[in-house]
Amino acid sequence: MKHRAALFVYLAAIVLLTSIHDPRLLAAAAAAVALLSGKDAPRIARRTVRAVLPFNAVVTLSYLLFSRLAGDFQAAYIIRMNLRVLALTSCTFLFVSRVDPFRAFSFSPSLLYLLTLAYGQTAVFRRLFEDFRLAFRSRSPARARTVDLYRHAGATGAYFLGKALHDSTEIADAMRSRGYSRDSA
Amino acid sequence: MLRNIGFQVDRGEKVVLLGSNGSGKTTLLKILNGLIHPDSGSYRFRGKLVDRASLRDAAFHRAFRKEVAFLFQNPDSMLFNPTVLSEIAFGPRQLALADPEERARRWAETLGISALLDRPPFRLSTGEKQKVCLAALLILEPEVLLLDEPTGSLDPRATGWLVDFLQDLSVTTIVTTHNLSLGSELGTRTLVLSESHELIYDGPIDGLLRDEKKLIDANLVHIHRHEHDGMEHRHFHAHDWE
Repeated sequence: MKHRAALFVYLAAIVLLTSIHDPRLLAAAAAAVALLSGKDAPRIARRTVRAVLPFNAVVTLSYLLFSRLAGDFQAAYIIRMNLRVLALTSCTFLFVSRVDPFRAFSFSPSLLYLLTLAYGQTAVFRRLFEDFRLAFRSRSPARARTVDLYRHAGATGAYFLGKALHDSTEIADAMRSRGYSRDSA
Repeated sequence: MLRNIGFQVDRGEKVVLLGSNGSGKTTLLKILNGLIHPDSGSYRFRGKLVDRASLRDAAFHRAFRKEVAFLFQNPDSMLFNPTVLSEIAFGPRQLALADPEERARRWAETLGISALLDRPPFRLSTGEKQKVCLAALLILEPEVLLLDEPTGSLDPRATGWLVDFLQDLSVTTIVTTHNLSLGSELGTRTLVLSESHELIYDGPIDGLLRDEKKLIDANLVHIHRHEHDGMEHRHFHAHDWE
């Protein structure tokens, strides 16, 4: 029950955070999440920064560049965007660190199926991704050239895209085979 | 988590690391390749400690990566270059060795994949990918070759080729497998990891095959009902080609 309630609180918080536009309120929300995180606050903050930094840096720098060129720079816009992403991400990390998603979604068999599939796929992909990373390190006696990093990233992305498509077809077939959905196939 | 693991491998030894799924074979190979590090205990290569600190030394890192090569179970994880030729030449190019492409062509010939040199690696069959990976590792002439379940996704013909190839190879090899029958083909010394991730056997494979208790403990054999001449009975045996 506690987990299910936490899920609904989390969903409400997400809706709230996407509807707030005042940067001061967004900053207060991010601070509130940090307070609620308690002793996990430093760990959640580190995870949040690691997760949002690449995306936010690219968006922020691109906005700075193009808004300057267009002569229409608005600091409030970029501050709002960064604070919103920060608050949403830290809120999500707090949620996943405190809540058992399987118990939270136990009220709906369909959502539970979906969660189980997603969870299983994530675990497989995470293990595989780690192998790709380690294999590249193992094969690199010297610092990799930029072009090799791009090639590795491209090959990894292509492999996972192909695998995701293949696996989703397999899973859909397996679920149909087990009578999960009624269709004409 | 691996526990009570202690062994030394001498130059030129052919070692087979046996254990059931989840026993820690891959983890042990990753430690031997310096990709992950034990929480306690130590691992030495040529007497030098291999840990995070030593691998930060560029010269040692370069020498270690050149000398200890690792064939991952999934060859896709190792392939990222646009052609087989550039894939095989990656190592020599990194080490700025002379004529990386000429070396790559020679190793492609050795492994019988010259016809694939201009093709993208990701379009190849699993057996072909594995040969490309082997060429890409062996081109650096490593002293140690670690192979993680190299026959796991190969058909019988490709398995036969690999067994012959590894027997003829004059480098130290450590090969993991849960295929008991292949054990004696892949090496002369056997290490066995138990399901509780401990090293429970270190010796010749003949000794292991006589030790039914160890085989059962390591989950390398199983028992089930079957018939001989109309008589039904049960005994332990291996079904290796699964």
